[in-house]
Amino acid sequence: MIRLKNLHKSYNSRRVLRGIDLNVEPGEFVFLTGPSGAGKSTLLRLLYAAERPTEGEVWVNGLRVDTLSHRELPRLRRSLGVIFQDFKLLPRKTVLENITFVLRFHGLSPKEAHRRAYLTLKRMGLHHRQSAYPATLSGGEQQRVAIARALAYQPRLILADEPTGNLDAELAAELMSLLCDINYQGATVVVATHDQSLLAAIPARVLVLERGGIGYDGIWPP
Amino acid sequence: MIRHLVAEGMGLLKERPLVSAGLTVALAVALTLGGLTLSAALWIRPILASGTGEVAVAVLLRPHLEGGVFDQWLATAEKAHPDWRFRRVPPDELAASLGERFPYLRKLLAEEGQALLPPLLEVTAPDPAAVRTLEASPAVLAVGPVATIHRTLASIARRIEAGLTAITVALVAIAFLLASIWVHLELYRHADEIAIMRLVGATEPAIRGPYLVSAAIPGLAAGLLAAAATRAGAGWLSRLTTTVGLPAIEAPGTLLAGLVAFGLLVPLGAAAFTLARHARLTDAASL
Repeated sequence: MIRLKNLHKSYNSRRVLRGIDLNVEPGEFVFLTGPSGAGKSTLLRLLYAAERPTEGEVWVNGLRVDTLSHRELPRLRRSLGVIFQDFKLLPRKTVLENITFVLRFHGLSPKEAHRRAYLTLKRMGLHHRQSAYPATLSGGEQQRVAIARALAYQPRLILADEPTGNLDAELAAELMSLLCDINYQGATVVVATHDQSLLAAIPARVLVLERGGIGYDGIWPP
Repeated sequence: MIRHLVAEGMGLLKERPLVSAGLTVALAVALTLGGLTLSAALWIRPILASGTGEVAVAVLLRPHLEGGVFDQWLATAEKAHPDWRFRRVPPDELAASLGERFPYLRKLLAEEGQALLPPLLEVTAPDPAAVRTLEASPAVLAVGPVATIHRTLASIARRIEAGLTAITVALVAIAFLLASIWVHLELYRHADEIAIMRLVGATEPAIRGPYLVSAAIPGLAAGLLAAAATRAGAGWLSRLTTTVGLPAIEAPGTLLAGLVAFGLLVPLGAAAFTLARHARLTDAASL
């Protein structure tokens, strides 16, 4: 599902990732953790091709991402569900439109996209805010809309960048339970987080990024 | 999909109704001026056609040229200018012409004057102005006017037509620029949204489509407005020209249809150009 070979990423002279080799098999639940600036978000951005590696290979869902052309990028991104740290909601679209909009790229009819978006919002407890604009939502609500958008088309691989960062403990637990359910149904989930309590709560593979490399790879706690 | 793109494009226009209306009016003004200019260019075309006929230039030779000298001079001139046609005006024809112009000479010309008249040639040349070179010959007394009123008018009309064509091209360029600026500004205004759309897997046609539509709709509206305004404008100008006995200025159906097509295609082309340029500037790494 994910294969990284000798992956390096530098920003000018600052080396963020140094020679990472990694395999994530289909159906795995993986936590990516480490101190701030360790390169968690950078690694995720490399997976959904928002960045190009300085060196090395990135394979996601059978596609070699680091050499993917612009024309092929949408195909990769439609095969992923990405939950962004800063939500990345479309400000001029309502909550419902933010989700139907993405579902339309997957070839759903307007009616079916609307139906599925509504069901996903209901699952996230946000169906009553379907006509609201993102700017009128709280941080937690925006986070849940972003999650709903990523899950609505049932992707095989979910990449989440600090998905619980804006949620209270109860909502965070609910979200993790939801991600576990999706993982149980066969999807691969990669969550970047610095929240140690999440690692302890879910028995999953944990990758600790340290000094640009993988310092620990196994079940938490070590 | 097309309905979705049209709805998204309309959404972009509705976000800034005043600017959208301004763009439509600006495009319509440019296209109307272009339409009227072309109508005027079509109107002066018959004048251009009338000025392309050959002109016979009168060449008056020195009197008392003996027959042999005259024939020799003529043979030399014909050899030097094979594409010119030379005709010697018979003395009686010249006398008749003079008599028409100056009736009081008729009697003198009828009695003995014809023998006193200098030889007159009519030279027909593709470039009448070139006949003036004969003035350098010692045998030539004078060369008559090399242009007719038609030629002069045609020359003026040709310059006007070139000017009008240049104005039309400039107006089309302005329309292109206006649409291009509109799309450019919209792209900057929605840069974040476009980045998000790319991140969530939107294809380029899905991203660009609404912007093309947002340029095409004002363009089409402007084209229709311009066609109506050109027709009305040509009618109004015709009232002026017919009052002074000149032909009416017409805006033919093909011209009006062309304005509508231009109204649609020019902003569409401008939008496609700007979008292609924008796509080259923003790659995944800049998101």
